[in-house]
Amino acid sequence: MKKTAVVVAPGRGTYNRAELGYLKNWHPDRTDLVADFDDFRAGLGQKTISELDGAARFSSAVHTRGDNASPLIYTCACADFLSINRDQIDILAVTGNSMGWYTALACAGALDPLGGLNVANTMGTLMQETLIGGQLVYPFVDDDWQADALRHATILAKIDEIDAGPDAVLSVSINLGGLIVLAGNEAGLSAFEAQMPRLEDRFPIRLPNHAAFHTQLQDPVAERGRAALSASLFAQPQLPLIDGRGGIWQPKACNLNALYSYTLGHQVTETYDFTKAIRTAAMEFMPDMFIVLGPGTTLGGATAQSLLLSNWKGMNTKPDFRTAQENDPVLISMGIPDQRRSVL
Amino acid sequence: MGAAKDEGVDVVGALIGVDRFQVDHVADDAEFEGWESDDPLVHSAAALIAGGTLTADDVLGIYQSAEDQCTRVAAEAIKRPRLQTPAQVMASIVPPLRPCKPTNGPTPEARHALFGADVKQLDKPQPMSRLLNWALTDLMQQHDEIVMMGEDIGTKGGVYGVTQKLSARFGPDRVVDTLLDEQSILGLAIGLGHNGFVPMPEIQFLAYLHNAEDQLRGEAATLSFFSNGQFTNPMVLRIAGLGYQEGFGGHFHNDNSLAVLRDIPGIVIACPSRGDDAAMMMRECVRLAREEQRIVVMVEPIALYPMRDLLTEGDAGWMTTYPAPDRTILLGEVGTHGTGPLAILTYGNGRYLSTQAAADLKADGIAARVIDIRWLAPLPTQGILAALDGAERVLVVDECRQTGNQSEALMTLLSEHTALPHARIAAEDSFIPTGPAYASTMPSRASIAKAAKRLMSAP
Repeated sequence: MKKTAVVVAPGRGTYNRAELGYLKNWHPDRTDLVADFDDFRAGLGQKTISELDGAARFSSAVHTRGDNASPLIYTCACADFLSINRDQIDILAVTGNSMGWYTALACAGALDPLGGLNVANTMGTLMQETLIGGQLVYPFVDDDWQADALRHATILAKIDEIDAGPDAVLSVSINLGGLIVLAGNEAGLSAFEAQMPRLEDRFPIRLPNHAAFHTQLQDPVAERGRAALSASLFAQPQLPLIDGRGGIWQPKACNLNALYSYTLGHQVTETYDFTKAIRTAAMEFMPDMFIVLGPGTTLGGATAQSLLLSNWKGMNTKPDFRTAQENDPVLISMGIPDQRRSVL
Repeated sequence: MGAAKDEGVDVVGALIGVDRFQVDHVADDAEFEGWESDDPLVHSAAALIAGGTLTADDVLGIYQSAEDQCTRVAAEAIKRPRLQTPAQVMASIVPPLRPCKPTNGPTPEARHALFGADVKQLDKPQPMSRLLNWALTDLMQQHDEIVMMGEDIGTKGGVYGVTQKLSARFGPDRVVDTLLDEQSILGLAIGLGHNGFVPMPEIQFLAYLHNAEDQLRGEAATLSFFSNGQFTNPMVLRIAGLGYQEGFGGHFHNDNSLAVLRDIPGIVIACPSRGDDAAMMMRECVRLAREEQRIVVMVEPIALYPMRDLLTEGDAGWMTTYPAPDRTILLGEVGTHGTGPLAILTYGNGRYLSTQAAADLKADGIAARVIDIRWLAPLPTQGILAALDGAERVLVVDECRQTGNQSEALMTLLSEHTALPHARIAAEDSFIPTGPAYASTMPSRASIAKAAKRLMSAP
């Protein structure tokens, strides 16, 4: 019997040193797709996807810039999606984290592959050109992924307190499983770093080359995005989509103007609730498993934490999740070679 | 045709929406199939196919995928642990709190502009209808998610003027004049509640609520319960009601029974007795709906809307000034007036009449305290017991009928929680009549005083 799956597309920060050569190694047969994308980038005078992926050395300065990272991650994730064995796996719905929404739109067919690249590339480039504010991450779960309600409330209260100050801007950028991604201006971010305890010897962690995504600070970016990208790029999706509010867009029944407005409006300037998207996917579609597209492996943890926070299939604890994974995996990360093989 | 067959046809007719008068025989299979082909879903699918939006295979694909989805979800849902204890079962009757963005409210200038000429009246004593109107005005300005709906509440400003000027001040899309249909009014409120608004529907007369009872009992009040608090439809339902309305309505409009509301788990019932209380309780009602997602019903005593005097004509004893917008009466907070050994436990018109009776009793050497319970559900037991501290005997005064109303709950409370001698005076089990006898079935100033004397002189 076919397995059912919800596919999750990754956001920024997932193509790092370990992922260099991802396309070359895993997708040597997708030359047509990559060639189209390379032409598109070359036409804009940007480094091609092949050049970036095939570089001799990973360079943070090059590979994590929005204008490079976004299209690179988009290409890897699209190629991974196309590699899923559809004879064995029935894909019920697609969702994503942050810019993963653009990938999800393409996977579902609401954007064609080149249209999706256009959107990811345009928005990544605009983010890089403006680079308004930044992001940092801070956890509210412990090592065993148990939510600490007090810490969660403390974080939110601190955000409000800092944001109320005269110069600081700070808000929740992404609900990312057990992590909160905060975004704001420099005053807001450094106030949070100064005032909150350091956790696990690493948090809060700043995300280099990230802007204050999913906040009002991105209004100008959203506006330029709408000016650069036309609603005619969008078509009826072939698969259900779950957005960053946990809302479902059904095939054959999407208001394409609303989909366009959400993608280049609310999605850019309001909190992206990845946790809720996973909750909706889990509860409404009840798949056998979640497949997190590559590149990278970091979104798997946030996906698993979101499932536990939703008490999905009775799972509450990290050991619950591990047991499920050992018996009949509920989460496949295509960025992990062993797991990847099981869905090809 | 036998009675049993008739009943069968009626049930089938009711289930599929066919009027019983169209059906005078037992349906055969072909007839059932005929009805089935009239299913609105089938018509919708046919329209989509005819319009070229979908093919028949597309439609079947959607049906199949919905069925598969339900099957997958059901297979997991059935594995969930079952509730065991009453506490688990009841945990979601009262919905969870919801965060509301703090606000500083309107500026004094904005409020001044909104009230316009009324500003000059704000510090002058007014009857309840006016103070309620101002409270609603302030609340609508403070919270733009408030939407009202009801019969003649907009242009006309309500039968008793409680919603006067609201339509002009906030627009017809926030003060909706509806059809004369209570189910539509509450249905609209439920839908708006689902979508994050704070609806404030009005049922024009308490006797009209019965047409739409199930919108509260079966629909709104159960939503949090059966969705484990995931879905809610908060609202503040205003109902003009109760008896003592001279010269109008009879049982068609007036009713003096709240049994229809009292036993519904989770709902809050408020019943103010004077304008200042009404304004402050309305603020709490809106807070309960907005922040705690509660379903709140405020029963507003029609007879007290215009009441100006208390003991003698022209004494203006039942009018008060408008309480400042930050003042409120919390859920469970009862009102105690006086300190006498005789406690009169009452609400609504009962408080007004008991206050009159207390003045008469004082002349006879009996000192009374009048305790207005204000909140009929949940019953403010702790507040009532605290208000009874030092009392020697308790008279329950209930303008509603003896059967199924507040006096039964209060008598039970007194016998379960106190050792105080107590008695009750409540309305007869009658409908409200028209004509001069309009108030004859209910407690009066004189009958309350008489009952009080009897209680105080008992050995």
